[in-house]
Amino acid sequence: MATKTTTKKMTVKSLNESLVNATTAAINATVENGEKWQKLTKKLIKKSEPVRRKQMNMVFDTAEAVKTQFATGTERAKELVEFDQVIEFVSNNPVSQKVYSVSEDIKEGVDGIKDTAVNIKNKVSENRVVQQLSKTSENLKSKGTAKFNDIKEDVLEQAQTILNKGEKMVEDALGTKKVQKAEATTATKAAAKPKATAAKTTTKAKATTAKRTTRAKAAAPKATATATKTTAAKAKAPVAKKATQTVKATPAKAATTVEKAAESK
Amino acid sequence: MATNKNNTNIEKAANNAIYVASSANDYMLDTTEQLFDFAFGLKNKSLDITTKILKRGLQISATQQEFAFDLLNGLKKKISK
Repeated sequence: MATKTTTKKMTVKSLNESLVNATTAAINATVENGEKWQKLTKKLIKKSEPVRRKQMNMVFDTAEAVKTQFATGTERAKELVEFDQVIEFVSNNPVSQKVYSVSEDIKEGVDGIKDTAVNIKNKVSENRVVQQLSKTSENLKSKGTAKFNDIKEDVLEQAQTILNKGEKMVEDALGTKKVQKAEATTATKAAAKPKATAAKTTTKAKATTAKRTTRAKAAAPKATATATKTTAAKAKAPVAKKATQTVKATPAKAATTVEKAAESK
Repeated sequence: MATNKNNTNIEKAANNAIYVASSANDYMLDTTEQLFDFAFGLKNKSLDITTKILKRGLQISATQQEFAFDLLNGLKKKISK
């Protein structure tokens, strides 16, 4: 066993050594390659120097040529227009001299007006009355804002109270409406009763009139007897109808009495 | 003995890999140098051509300007006469 472990240890050690050697060789190779690349970049930069010089020279040469052309062009244009002669003429002309002096006077006047305006501004700002006025205006402003806020709060409170009152009134109105509806139903039912009684009276009256007519017509000839019978039948028919109405009206009356009793309770 | 053989194999493989990588790197270096040389040559030629063109163009514009001013001067003289 001991020999096996020693052999294993030896193999591991040798493997480790070989791996270390390989990695060192790889690192050395990469360093060498990096150095080669750096050398190449140095070479290329040196080679690119004349090209850059040429480019710079070209740019500056063109700029100089453009400048000289512009200068010659301006000179020729001045010659063409006789610019110097015109300037001499204008400078020596008394009218132009006068205009120049007037413009200078105006400039000085404007400067003087500016200075006086600044002085007046300073004096006004330093004046006691103006300072007091500014103070009072500030006080008035603060007071006005405070008063406005107070009034605003009062108005809001009043509006709230009015709103509450309105809500209460609406609730009350809704309650009274319900009561009125109930009362209205009782009133209609109560009104049905007298109608029934009236119908009764009318039927009675009609019955009596029918009897009277039959009696009166009994004395008449038999040919008319058939006619009287039909009229009597007609008179009796509404009586029967009215009688049914009275029968229908009586339960309504009973219902109203029950409701009234409940309300009294 | 077996362990020694394994070790030698690993070292051989590593050395081979490094050799291949370095040779590839050298090839790349040579090709990039050649490429840049070619590019610089082209740039030089193009610069020469552009400078020539610019100079010619500026000369033409100068002559044109002079021609225009001469013409205007001639007109002026004619008008003043």
